[in-house]
Amino acid sequence: MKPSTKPNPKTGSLACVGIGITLGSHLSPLARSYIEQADVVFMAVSDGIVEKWIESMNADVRSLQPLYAEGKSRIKTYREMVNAILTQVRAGKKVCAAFYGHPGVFAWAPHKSIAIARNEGFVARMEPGISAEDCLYADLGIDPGAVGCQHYEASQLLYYKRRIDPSAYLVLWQVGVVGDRSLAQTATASAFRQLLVERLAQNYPLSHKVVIYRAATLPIHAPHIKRIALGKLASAHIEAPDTLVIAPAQKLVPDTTMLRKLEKLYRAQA
Amino acid sequence: MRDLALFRNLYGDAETMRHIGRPMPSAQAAGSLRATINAARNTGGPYFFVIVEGCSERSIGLCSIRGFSARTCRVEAGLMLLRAARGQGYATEALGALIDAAFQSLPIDSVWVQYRPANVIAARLCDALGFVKSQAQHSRGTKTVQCIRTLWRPGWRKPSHQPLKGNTMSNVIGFLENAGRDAALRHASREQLLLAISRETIEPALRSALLDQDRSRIDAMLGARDTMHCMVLPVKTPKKAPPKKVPGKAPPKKAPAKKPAKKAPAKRKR
Repeated sequence: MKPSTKPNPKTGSLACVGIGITLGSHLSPLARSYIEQADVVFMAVSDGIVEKWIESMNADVRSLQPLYAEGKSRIKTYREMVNAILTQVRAGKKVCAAFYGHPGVFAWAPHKSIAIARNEGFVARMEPGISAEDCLYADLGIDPGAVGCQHYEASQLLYYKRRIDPSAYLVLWQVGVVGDRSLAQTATASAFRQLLVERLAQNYPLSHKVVIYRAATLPIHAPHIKRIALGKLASAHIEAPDTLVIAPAQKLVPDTTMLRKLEKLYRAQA
Repeated sequence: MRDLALFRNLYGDAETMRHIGRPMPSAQAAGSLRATINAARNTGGPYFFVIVEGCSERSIGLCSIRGFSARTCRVEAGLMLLRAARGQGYATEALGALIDAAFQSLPIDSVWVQYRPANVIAARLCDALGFVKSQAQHSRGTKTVQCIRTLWRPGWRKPSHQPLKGNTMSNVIGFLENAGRDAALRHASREQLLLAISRETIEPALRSALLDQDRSRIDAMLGARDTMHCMVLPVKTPKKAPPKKVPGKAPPKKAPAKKPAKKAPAKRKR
């Protein structure tokens, strides 16, 4: 008799969930349920207090923070995160990995963990969370649908030739470590930000107001919103979780050619 | 059997029953439990819940909701605890959870309770949870005067769900979680926060740190991790900067090889 080639169903599973940004305000019932029902919970969150909060939801909660270290390449840290998570999945455990904000936005380790777990035949899911981007729209009163909104990791503007549309909003993430090619620094010097200013000056006047934004992670806090001129960005105090938001500097330019073609279409239909 | 033992320990104990009625003999308690279970099968209740201590998984008391009708839009809540489980904050936690569940699952406007005027502990419990005093009334069919207290849905604010056992950490995390999910507290003024914090069992130094929004003091007092790394995204960097072009100068020509060069082995993909 030929042995069955069908693999045995694997018992381990993975759920990468977002806990949102603000303690108590953003955690979805489903994300909480995954955390509470998991055999093992891994967490990569924004605050020590938030860690304590997650620890109150499950008896086996493990912080991924010890994997970071000053001078250690973060890509190594992220690979270790993936390994730590998958080791438990492969051991047949129901694993929940809780990340601050949205687990799939500006987050490599959750996507990678899910991809590997699925490839190995495990059930793996991602559950969205309220991200810093969501908080930003609410706190700054920005509707990305109004004139459009571009999001870039700040360093990409220095490493690559990206096209910026100054008639839309521009949001730059991880601006506190802009230009850190080693991925081992927790902050880069003002000279690195000056290069960013130089790049942005190709599209914006130096007097253009920009916003340094940080969402509130504790419910007793207000968001950090500081408006400065673009030219002052290099000397500004910027921390790792800060985001740079640049409002449009130009009005939308009508595309007269397309508008004429549209007009013809309307007339033909009338 | 476990429920019967609990029932007997509660209703058979003279001290527990001193503000309720005569203690029940064992057989009567068993009959009362059967009647209770039968009554609980009705769609409209009463609903009985066993209170279980989280750390020991011991049954330590009973709580109930009864008298629901869509016409009156209110229910009566009740609670009994074993002697050994009193004075540890369990009554506040259990009754708070019961009221929360009642408001979430039933279309009611208020929850009311009754107790004898001599029951000082019940009065304190009602004060802590925000019950409003009504006029003392004669209990139906008896000459006993009962205090009637009502809690209205709009004024309901669940206290911290963590047990108040002098555990500062749990109280602070519980307070922050409640502040995060309570629309009345999330964007509260300092005065409103001060009022809310004063209802919690939190030591004065920590209260002051919370009100001052002093993150480092809060972290230090709670023993929370103070240095947190938030980045979870590596940025791909170009491997080498492109060679600098010198205008007007043609690249130097290589001298032709004497022999045709051997084909280099294919490079491994990194």
